[in-house]
Amino acid sequence: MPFNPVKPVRRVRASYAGAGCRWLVLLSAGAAAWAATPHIDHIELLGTNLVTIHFDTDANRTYTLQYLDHLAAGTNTAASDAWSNLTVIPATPFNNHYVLVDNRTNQHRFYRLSVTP
Amino acid sequence: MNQRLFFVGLLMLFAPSGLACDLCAVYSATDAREGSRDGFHFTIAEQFIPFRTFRLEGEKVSSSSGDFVDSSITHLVPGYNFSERFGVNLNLPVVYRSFQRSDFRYSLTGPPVFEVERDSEFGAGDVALIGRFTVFDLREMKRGFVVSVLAGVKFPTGDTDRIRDEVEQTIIFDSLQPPGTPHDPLGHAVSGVHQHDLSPGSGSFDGIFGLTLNSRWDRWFFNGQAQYYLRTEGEGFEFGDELLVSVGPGAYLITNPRYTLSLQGVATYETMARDRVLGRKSDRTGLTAWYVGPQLGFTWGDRLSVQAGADLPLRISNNGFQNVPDYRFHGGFTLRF
Repeated sequence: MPFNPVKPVRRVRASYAGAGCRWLVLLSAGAAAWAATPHIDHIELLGTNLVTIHFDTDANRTYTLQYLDHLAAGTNTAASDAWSNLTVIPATPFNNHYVLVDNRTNQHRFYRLSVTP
Repeated sequence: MNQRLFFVGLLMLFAPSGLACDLCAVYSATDAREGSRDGFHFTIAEQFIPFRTFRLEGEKVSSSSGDFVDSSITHLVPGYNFSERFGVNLNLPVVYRSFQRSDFRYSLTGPPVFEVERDSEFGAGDVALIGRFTVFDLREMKRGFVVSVLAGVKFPTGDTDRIRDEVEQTIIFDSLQPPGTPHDPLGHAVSGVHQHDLSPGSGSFDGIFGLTLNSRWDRWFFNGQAQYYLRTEGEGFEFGDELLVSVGPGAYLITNPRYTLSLQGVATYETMARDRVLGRKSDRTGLTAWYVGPQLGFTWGDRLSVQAGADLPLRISNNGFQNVPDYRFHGGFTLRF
């Protein structure tokens, strides 16, 4: 049986709106095809003051989940140094699925997944 | 140097008054090894296992984490034989594990934190009380055949802080999953070294069952043993049941009237079922392994026996991603009073 420690329910959402908050998922930079590239699977509210961010990882690649609280109006881009790291996931020898927690500190927050190599 | 002198002193202290022939020495050696005469006996046994090989579903893989465990368990085993057929042993393990584990630590108040913990665990393990009953006993000068059964209980006396912490991480990780999402109870762990791998205690009352077979013809012998550990749940965690079978032929290389030296080739089969966390099986635990290796035996009269051996893995099939043994070293000595 292939190693699959977490089998997520596939519910892809580009954004989540609720209770006056807006959470936007951004594809990793340079993504050419959704299925073949790393991406955030979905974001959910957890209780009243937390959100969970779900994504898959491939073996032997390092992932960094980054966030940004403000984007310039009318764009979906920002200076690369404007992003902050939420969590760095070191490379592991196996594929995995992560569910990371973040605090709902602002009215909205943007996330992106950076991958190397 | 002082330890060496102490050891030589022990040998002299327990030297037999006089043995007339090689077979007598072999006969006496068998008796010393099996330790089945009436009275007290005391064994100190050591097992050292470095877990520095990474395996994913049985395949060797490399990992940049550098995680490892060097596990040392010293067993202090006082025992008493009420007769040649019946005896009891108390096993008092002392556990020392040097390790590194790189893993996420989840919480319900913020993002998980990736931690690299390089430390050691030292403490008393789980105490076990084991009874032995010899069901067949043939001991003659030229040949011997002894079959014994063992049964006992392992008590949850060892420290279980790490198991409690692992179960707590499972509870937190579970609460982050969408309702109904199937996931591994140890899905929060990315290290090949789990918390329960480091825990000196299991937290559970476990059953221990065994069978030993010792046969000898002249200078040749064939010994084997089987052990089964029936695990129960403790602290929300249940280690998988374990079966261990080791057999092998051997020969006495030196049969001096005072001492003997033997060499045995041992093949070992070991299988551990998947562990359960909060009642759910984890696909990141459990393995089956085959080992082969030599074992040297030394006896001095009928009161002292010393053994040392190594197990080299032939094949290891494991579930998920785990650190598995590079090899296993075991040695020890028994004194009979």
